[in-house]
Amino acid sequence: MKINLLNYNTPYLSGKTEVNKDPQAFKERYGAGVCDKKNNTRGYNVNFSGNPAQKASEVAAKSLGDKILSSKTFGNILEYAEGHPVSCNALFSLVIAGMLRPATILSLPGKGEEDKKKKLDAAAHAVASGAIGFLFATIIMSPFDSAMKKLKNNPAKFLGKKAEEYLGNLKEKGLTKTKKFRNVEKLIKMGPDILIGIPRSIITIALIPPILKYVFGINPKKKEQKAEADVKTQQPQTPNNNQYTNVSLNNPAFNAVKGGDRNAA
Amino acid sequence: MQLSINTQRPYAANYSAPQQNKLQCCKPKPQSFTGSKEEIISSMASKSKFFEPVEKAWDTMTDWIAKNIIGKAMNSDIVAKFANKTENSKYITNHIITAGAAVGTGMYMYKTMNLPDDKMDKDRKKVLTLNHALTFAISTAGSYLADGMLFGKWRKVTNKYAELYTKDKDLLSKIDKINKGLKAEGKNTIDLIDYANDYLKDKKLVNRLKGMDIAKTFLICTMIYRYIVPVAVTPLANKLGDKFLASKKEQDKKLQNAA
Repeated sequence: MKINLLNYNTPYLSGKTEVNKDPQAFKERYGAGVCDKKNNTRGYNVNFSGNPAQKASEVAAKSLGDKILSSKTFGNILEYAEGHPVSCNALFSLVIAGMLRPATILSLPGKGEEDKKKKLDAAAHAVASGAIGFLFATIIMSPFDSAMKKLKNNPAKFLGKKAEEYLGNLKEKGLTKTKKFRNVEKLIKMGPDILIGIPRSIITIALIPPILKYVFGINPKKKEQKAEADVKTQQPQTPNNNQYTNVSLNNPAFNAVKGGDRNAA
Repeated sequence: MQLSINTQRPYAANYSAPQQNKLQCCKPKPQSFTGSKEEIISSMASKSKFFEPVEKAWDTMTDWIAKNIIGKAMNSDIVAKFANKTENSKYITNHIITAGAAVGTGMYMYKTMNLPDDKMDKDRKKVLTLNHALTFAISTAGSYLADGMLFGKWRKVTNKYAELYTKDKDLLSKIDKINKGLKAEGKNTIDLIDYANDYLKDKKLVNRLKGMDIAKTFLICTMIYRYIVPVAVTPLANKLGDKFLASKKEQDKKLQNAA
């Protein structure tokens, strides 16, 4: 295969190129015939700048790890972790506890259909709790993260003498770079998560049943009712069980056999 | 087969080659936007008025939080003590996550112990509470251990990331040289974040390098607390608890029969 490079990528201030000096000669020497009407290779025109051999070697040298590290997504995740740590933690929880864990649970071998159903319920539960956790953390913590950013840009506006005592001069440029400030920043950004942890769990527990019902089509109340009904239907099969003795003695049908209904009399 | 590689010219607008001599087949496509530079800049700089009230409300709210919540918290004695005590600590993120997990576990333990007797018998409550506590202890110890073990490896990853970001393979040797000079002068040495801050003056890189450490701790803690423990440790602890309760019941029965 013959590869020709039409190099138009010279700086425009560097003067005339070989193309402009004698375009016809240039075309005859380097042209691949892609502009000819009868040529079938027109669709293979490639936009590419730089030395192809060098570019190919650079691409080959990059390992998978390097590709991940230099990807935009990875960089964005890092910035998100720094700017919104609580929300980022919830996002990791959503991925690990809401996707990886259910996938593992579902892939484990089970006994019978009931076990499978239990696993599906557990998976749906994990996804729902992960999603609620992420949404709740993002909504609650976003204003705090934004406020912290403002404070970092102008510490003297928001901080007082007490903070100046342990942080140093608030008007100094390198204040936010100090380890003390970095640690306090982490505490302020992640500390509220400790405080909102309990209400968050309460709200998550409260919101899981409607999410299971309307998103996954699983109704926990129906299940409970069904379980109760199953227990009731199983009662006659265990006549010798002492815990049901009182129930069966108060049964009107039982009284009728004894010689009359007590309630009727 | 012949393959021709055609490079596009971004400077086509400024290019003044004679029209007659141009290769007609390789003309660059005309620009879709033909406005002046001023028009482009003004269109990019102007903001939508639709979100103006929302942005104002957001600004007011975040200002209030910065002044009345974060500002007051940072001016308090507790935060001052925290800052002074943890100045040289490497595990701040782990400590905060552990504190959060301790609050959550404590709440579950309290709720389990205070369950009415008709919902759960006393022995099972005790076993379950102990289960919560042991699971928390194992998870916390595991997260600190894993974090410590991965410290060196993650530092290498961070260095590699910085080299790739700056496209400078000599980045670390440059920092070493600076540190040697600083040591000779009797000054404090700098790390990668300091270098990005003071020498490169790249805020994006600084934030990303800070994010590397935070993301690592989050990944380790989430993997342990939310994946390894629920999948592997909790079922095992439950089975052990059930066995313990069953053996205790048997012993109680034997004692009753003997009496």
